[in-house]
Amino acid sequence: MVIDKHPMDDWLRKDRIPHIWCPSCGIGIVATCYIDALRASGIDRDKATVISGIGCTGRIPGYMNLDSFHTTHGRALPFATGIKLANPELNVTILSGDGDLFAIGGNHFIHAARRNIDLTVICVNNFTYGMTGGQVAPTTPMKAISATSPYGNFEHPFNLVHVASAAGAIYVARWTTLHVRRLRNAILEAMTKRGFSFIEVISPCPTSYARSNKLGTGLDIMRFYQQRSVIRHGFDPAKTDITMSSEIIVGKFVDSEKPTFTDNYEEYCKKLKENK
Amino acid sequence: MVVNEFNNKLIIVISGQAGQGVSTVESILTSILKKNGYNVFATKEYMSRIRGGCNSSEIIVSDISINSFCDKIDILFPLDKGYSSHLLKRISRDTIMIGEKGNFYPDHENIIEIDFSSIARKLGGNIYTNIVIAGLMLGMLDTDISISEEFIQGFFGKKDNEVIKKNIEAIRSGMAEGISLKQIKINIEKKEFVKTNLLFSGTDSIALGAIAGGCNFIASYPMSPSTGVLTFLSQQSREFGIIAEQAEDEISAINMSLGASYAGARSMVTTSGGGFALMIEGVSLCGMTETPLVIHIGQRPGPATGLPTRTEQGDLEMVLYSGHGSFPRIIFAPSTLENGFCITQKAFNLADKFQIPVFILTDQYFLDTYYDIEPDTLDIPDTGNKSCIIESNLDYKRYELTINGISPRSVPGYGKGLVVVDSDEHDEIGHLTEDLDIREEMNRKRISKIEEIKKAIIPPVLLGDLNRNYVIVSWGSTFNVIAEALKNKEFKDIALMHLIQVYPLHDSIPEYLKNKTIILIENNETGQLGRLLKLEFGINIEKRILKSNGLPFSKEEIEENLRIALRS
Ligand SMILES: Cc1ncc(C[n+]2csc(CCOP(=O)(O)OP(=O)(O)O)c2C)c(N)n1
Repeated sequence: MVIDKHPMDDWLRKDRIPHIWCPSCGIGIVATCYIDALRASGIDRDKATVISGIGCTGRIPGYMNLDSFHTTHGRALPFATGIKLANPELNVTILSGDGDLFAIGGNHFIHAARRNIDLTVICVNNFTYGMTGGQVAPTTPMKAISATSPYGNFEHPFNLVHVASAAGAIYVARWTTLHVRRLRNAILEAMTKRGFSFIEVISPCPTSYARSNKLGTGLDIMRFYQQRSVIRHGFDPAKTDITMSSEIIVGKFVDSEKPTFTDNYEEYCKKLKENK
Repeated sequence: MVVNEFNNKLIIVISGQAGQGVSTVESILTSILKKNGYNVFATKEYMSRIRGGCNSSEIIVSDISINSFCDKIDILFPLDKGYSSHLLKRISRDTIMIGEKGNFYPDHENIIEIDFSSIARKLGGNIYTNIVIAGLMLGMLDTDISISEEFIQGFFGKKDNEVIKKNIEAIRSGMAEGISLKQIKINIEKKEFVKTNLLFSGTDSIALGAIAGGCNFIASYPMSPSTGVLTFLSQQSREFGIIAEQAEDEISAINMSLGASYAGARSMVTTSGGGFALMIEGVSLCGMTETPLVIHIGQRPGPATGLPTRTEQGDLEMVLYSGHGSFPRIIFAPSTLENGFCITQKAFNLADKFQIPVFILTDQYFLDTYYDIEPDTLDIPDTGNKSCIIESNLDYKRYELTINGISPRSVPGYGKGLVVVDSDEHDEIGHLTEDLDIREEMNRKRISKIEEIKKAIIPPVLLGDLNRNYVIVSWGSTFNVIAEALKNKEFKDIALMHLIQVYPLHDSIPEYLKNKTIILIENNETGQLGRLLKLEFGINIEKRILKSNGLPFSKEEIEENLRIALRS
């Protein structure tokens, strides 16, 4: 079958294609899953906003035919918090890299989760800083080689899903770019759920991380994900650390309810008015 | 057959997508050419992406050093069919394009078609294409195959023998092709002494200068174009005993470096404008606590994320006024790579001596440029790296009031005394105080160090005699390109005053500029140095040559603008 129109044409800013990502990079898969989930959600397109920080992942919103804001490095979350406070009707999704969200933006991340502000955060974790040439990230596993850990990383990395759940996220999941359908469903679930949702997507960086750690081609990495991934819904996020030789535990780890920042804020305003 | 002849110099440009290996060809060619005795210069311009787009590298091969970017292109190797608009502007009818059929710019006539890919495929695959291209250029010039082979051995040293063998074959095939190319004749003299010259980049000059200055601690956060200094030092950490820590952000980085300095390390940070914006709180802490620190800023166009991989001299004012409150600082802006090495070495010693932040302002152009340097030009003063840290005694006062404002500095664990430091206003011991008389005394003490600092100001570099009617004022990375343009006889009435130290300013400056027509040249939109000269000395500047499109000044552009300045 020959089609003259890409099924996502309406959702993409076609004039900005070709995109910047390397062959077999996982970021495009995440972008596709987001659009697919957004379409399925029935959310009014005019009410969907995508926000990102700086990095290869941060370039996603630039290719989407949606209201978008590419903030400075690390600041996507406070910026998105401002949007949600000013207009709670918007469905706000943050798509950014592990360095952006957990190194320079780490403080913002734990506070946004603590507030339980109604945002969906999708973090593309490629274990490195793709955009700046493959430096060590707060997610880089021990012993992994990077431009700034030339003899092997010796710092303990973050386990992102554990950080998110400990900080108060009400929805926490992890998938890899191999799990396309499950990832798309998780995004759909997260974006229609009220409160702070977090999805970690394990994704290949063929140019930096995969090369310096000899992980092979894009296909090899997909095979690696297939062999290493173990689905364990409801598993204790504290026990899902990723090392260079461990399994990759994926699944939905947290799905709970608690009043959101906006709920509490409305409640608070109501009380203040009553007591006037 | 038309024969194109190039005498004394040749400007080669390689263009292609990110990831196609433009930089690899550049580094292979420059290294091998230098080893053969050719003077080389290289610089690159590239997009903020890891794949795709259009990037280019310029290589100038010459018989006397020409260390400045030129617009003109003699030979262009397009590795791809995409051309950025700024590259297109540089292509003239005389530009010879050498490459594969599909990659030539449509309608360009001056082309030599060579199917590099099929040569490479015969050797085993497309990955050899870049080496074949490098080989072609080496064949067109007069180079020794054994030098190339030796280089390839080293370059691919970690790979297996088969890879090395294939690459040597690739370079040989390219060379054979180049030797048989009769349409181009190149006459550039080689020099024996150039073979042993050093070949390093701006990034290398800062990082090597830091090592020479005794730097043993760097904490930073990656940010183009400054990251290379961090990676260089982390890759040399084992060799030189350097602690190289990648922090979680710039706020953390500067505080780690300050902490290390308090503990006795010679420490630095490297960043770019956006990252430095985050460090400013730390600069203020540095000023208040009088903790030595070297801050390297590789400038790129702002505001915000701006143009991440481009160049600008746009951060002088931010650096000058960074940090709330008043405290002294030194700001350097190296003019050449040689100078970058020496200035960085010096910066560590001045930071230690005066207990202040010392800034080094470079930019993408400076950092990504390299050329061969005579080792003798890298002179480090004999004073070496004498540390000013003293052993404390029991009644040690970290902020003892002294005549010149500099209190002897000790570090924790060295001697019997305590080293007490506070970001709040503090007394001589270092304890927090709200005694407002002490506040005034301490503030004066810190600020008064400027008198001592002024004794060590680096005077401006002067080119041309003092009788000339026009004087160019410039700073930092623009030196070589302006000096190159001034070699042109048309400009014999123009002298150059170039600043390497942009703060504090040398007091000879107003004297040099008296009764002259000043032409300000800065790679920014507002003339930040010009404004500083007005503020400090009341100097008015009428003629300004400014640029902020993210690219460096070319020699031709300087010439063109100087002509306009002379006419108007
Ligand atoms: C304040 C500041 N510091 C540093 C940078 C440089 N920088 C751009 S992207 C990036 C990291 C990107 O890594 P990550 O967030 O993991 O995303 P990826 O590129 O891997 O998708 C850095 C350090 C910047 N733009 N701003």
